[in-house]
Amino acid sequence: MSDALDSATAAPGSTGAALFAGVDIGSTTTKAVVVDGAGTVLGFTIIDTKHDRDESGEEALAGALASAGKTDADLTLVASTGYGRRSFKRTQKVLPEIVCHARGTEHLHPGVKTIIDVGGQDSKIIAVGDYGTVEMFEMNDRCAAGTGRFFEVLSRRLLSVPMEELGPLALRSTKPVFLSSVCTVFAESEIISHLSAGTPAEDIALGILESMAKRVVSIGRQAHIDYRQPVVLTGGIALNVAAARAFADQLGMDVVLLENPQMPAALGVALIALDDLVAEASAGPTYP
Amino acid sequence: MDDATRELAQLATDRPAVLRDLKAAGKKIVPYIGHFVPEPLLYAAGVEPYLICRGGEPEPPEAVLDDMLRFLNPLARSMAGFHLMGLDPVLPLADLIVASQPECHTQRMAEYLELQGFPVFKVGIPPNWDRAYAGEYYFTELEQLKAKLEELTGKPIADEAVREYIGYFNQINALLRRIDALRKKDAPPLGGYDFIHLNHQSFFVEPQVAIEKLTAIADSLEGAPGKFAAKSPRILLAGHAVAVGDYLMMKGLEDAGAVIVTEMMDEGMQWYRWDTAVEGDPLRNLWRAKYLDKVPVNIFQPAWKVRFEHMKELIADYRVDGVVWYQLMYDEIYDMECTVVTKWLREMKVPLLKLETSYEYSREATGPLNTKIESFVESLRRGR
Amino acid sequence: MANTAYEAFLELGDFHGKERQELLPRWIEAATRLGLTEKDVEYAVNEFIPEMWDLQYLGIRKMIGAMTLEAIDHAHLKEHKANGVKLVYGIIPAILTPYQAVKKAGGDKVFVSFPDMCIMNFLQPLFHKGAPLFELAETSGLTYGCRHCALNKLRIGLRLRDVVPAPHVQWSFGLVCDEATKVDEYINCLYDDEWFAVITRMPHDTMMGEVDDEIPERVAYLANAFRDAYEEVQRVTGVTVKEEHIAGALDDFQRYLMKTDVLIRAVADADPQPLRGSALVNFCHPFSMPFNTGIEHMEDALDTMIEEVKAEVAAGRGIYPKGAPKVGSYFVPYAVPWVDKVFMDNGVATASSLTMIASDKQLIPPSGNDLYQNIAEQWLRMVFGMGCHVEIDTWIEKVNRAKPDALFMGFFDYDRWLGQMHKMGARAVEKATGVPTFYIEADFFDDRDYSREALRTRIESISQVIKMRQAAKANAALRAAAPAVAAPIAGAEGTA
Repeated sequence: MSDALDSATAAPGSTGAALFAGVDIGSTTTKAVVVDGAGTVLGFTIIDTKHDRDESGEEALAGALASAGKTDADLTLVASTGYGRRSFKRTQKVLPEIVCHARGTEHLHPGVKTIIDVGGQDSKIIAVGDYGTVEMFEMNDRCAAGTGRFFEVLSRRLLSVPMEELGPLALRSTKPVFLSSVCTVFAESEIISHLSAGTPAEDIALGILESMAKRVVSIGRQAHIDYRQPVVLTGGIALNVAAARAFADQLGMDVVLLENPQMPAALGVALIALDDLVAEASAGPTYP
Repeated sequence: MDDATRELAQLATDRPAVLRDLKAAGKKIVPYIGHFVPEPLLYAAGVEPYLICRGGEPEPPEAVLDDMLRFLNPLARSMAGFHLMGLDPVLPLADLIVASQPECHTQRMAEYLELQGFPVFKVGIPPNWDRAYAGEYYFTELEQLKAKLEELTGKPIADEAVREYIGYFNQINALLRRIDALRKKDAPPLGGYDFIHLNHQSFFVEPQVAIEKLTAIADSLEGAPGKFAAKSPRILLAGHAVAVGDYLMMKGLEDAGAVIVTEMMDEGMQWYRWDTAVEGDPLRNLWRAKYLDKVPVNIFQPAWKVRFEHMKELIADYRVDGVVWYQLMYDEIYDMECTVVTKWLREMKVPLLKLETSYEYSREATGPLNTKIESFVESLRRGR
Repeated sequence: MANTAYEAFLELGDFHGKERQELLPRWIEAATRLGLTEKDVEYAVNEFIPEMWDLQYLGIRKMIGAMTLEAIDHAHLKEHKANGVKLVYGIIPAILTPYQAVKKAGGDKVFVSFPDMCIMNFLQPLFHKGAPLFELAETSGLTYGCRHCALNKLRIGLRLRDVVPAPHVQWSFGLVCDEATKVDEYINCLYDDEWFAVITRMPHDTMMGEVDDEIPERVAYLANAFRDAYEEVQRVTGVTVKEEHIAGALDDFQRYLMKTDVLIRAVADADPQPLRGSALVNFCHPFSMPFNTGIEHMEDALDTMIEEVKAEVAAGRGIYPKGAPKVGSYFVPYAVPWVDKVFMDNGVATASSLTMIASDKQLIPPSGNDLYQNIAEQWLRMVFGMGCHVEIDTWIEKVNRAKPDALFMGFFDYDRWLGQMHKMGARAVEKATGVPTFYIEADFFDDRDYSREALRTRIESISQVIKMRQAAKANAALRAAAPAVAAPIAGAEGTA
């Protein structure tokens, strides 16, 4: 272990420098990050999660290594998180994603106080303390209305617009529709009514985003999470240029977007693995 | 697992078969619902009681949906649903079901059982516990229950017999307190998962047997090494009920590295923190112990401020790091209390995790459940 | 001539000239406080209200006016409180007589109302604008959607928006409902430690075969509960309720009851039916909530409505086709007139109601001389007050008397205690009476999670089944009378 520590804390780029990989195997996408001993991101990949989660982890990791110009042999430690975290056979450290998410987001945007993460299948609100620790969190229950799935189903299917064009489309709206239905199933029916009535697609697209944002923000409010700034929006939804606006409108405050909004959890698990290694070696506080 | 624990578990499992034999021999079988039904009175009457509080499986709550509203809590629906699916070995033996009726979920479930043809004796629980007239109503209900039991068996219930069983249940409470106190240690020899099993099992064996087994278990545990590491995050589990069989959540918490050091549950656990007086009128003593001399259950009014004071005491006594609120879906008054408790715990800077269950534990449901549990435990660990 | 939507709304409510002008500023203020924009009012005046309510009747317009006056009064509750008026709130369901008696005793010194019922029955059926208040409660901590009753959400929302200040006393009859009285504790713990409530609750323990008002301990318990709470209400408000106030409240109640009975019978017996069921429900509001502005405006509306209905009946006119089947319900759901409209669009009339028809027991006056004993007995004979099996028996009695062509139950999903009774009772009623009974999963205060289209489809299907059965019955009667009739009546083939 002390060799690993030495490697880990060697100067970046030196021959002794080690690599830590974090792999986030989600229900929709799998992300992998490689960092050096200083926590500098060297490589990142995102792929669609396959039926075989272990295979997904391997493929993503290979992609991240390739983008860093590194190989398997350079790896010091592999850590995993996300729903498929235990399916990744070669993982050496497994951590649940919320703590990873907080750590990773804090690294990418130091001083973050609130994280809103909207993934394909779930949403999370995380109140962040010092050093990226989690003060409180809440997740949606099984309702899909506060997830990316809501947006994907309603926007892409009903409006027949590719996902990457939905954000620019929504931004053109000046009069978003109000969707009263909380449930994805009934919202679909409501949207069909709007389409039949000739409502412009951009108004529907922005209306869907606003409905989703309202639902997600209320998850945190129900758990008495204070939305303190800076608020960072992560997850696939943050790739939608209109999403930040929808959330900002709901919150009445600015929302920060990351360059790679799907990276935090994978980055966070790698960083925590690095933190733990350093802590163990220096006989600091240990965690069972 | 030591012999006494194993034996207690086996005896509890075998209880339905024993009841079948007892019924064949002429004994009256009286399943009961809720802890406002005093067990000492049932035993003193010479009947064979059996707690109905089973849950944790998704099919039984669904099985009753032809006639029961989807928006009732899954425990109430389970209690009827297991029977409807032919999975309840005891209800078909019932000579009488005694159902305490503190809130509308169990009320409607008891009515459903009546429609299924069961004889149900209802014990009404007025929620205005600070009013003398309300307390007297519950006392009258206990008197009527006593009369009903006497009618069922054809024998009067002697005060001495009730006192004797009060004594046994006080002993069970004392033993549970003794075992529970071990969870105050830094490295407890048992957690909530084991403790709740002992609670549940104590309902399904005769009190003298429970005393014998729990004594052996307590003796064994007092000398046992810690089962949990000294720095395991310490959890208070609060809510309405952990049903018999609904253990996934508790196991998940302790598998994730936490230890459940204490509970604040209204149903599904012995009210072991409070004893019943033995001297004097035993019925009045049971009434007092159940209605007045304990922390009020949620439905009572007013209750939440008093309950929170108790929660604060538990947090201090057991050095709790975080609270897990276990919420039955559609249990509206517990949901509301959780919102209030969330705010108050926030002000105290005590982390809280709310877990809602509909007893649906498919792969899709356990993924998010495990994420929540593990993330909470991890955040407690790192926040220390 | 109305210049603005606000004025147009008042015109619609039969306020004209000087009266309208004087009311206008208070109405605009009230609308703003209740979350209504000018656009909302315009939509209501031009589209929603004309679609949902039969404005050709002056009685309907006066009824809307009466509800408006009450809503305006409520929107100024803070001013009332600041002026020293004692606020007494309650919730449904409740026996109104004691509340009305407090108002009679205290006059303008007290404000007696059920704010949530008043505002809900103003915002939803006239503007369809209850949702923002539900959402306010949800985003402030109460779990969304189906976990809680929308009426309680509205109550919390009104407090959060500071429309409804803390009362001097909230007298909440929880009775069989658990959640409503806990809302008082919720508001007190979370938002307002001045929110003071006295609670009257009833244990849930009537056994099958028992009849609630025939159990002495039960009547005595409830009488004590009422006495206990009522004394507290009087102590807090400083109002002493005397016999004459109670007698006055009872007189008002009886008088109004006799008149609504005339209206309900006239409508239910008429063919073609001249009025929608949702209108009948609104005229019954003085039975479900106190009117702080007094019931004289509603009574005037009722008197006008009775005369208009009589005239329509005499002329053989109606808003439904002649021979339209009539469907009964628990009560036509209060705040969702679009449900009634869908039935109407399908040629099915709603009128008979299990709550608006009295059972034989309910017509028996209370037996004793003690006020509280009488209130307790009266309550225990009412719908909501009885044990489930007894109440279902009264449903059977009422259905056998009213003989609707069909019955629909449901719309109480989020009102758990009542919703469950509907689900169990629907089957029992159909089995006992032979009247086809449909259970609809929905909520009558919160329609956000229910697809309007799916509900429409369901009601259309029910309406078709009802009409087919009606046709089959008529066909069978004709065949029995004249076996040689050659051609069957259209639509009778293939009936269930």
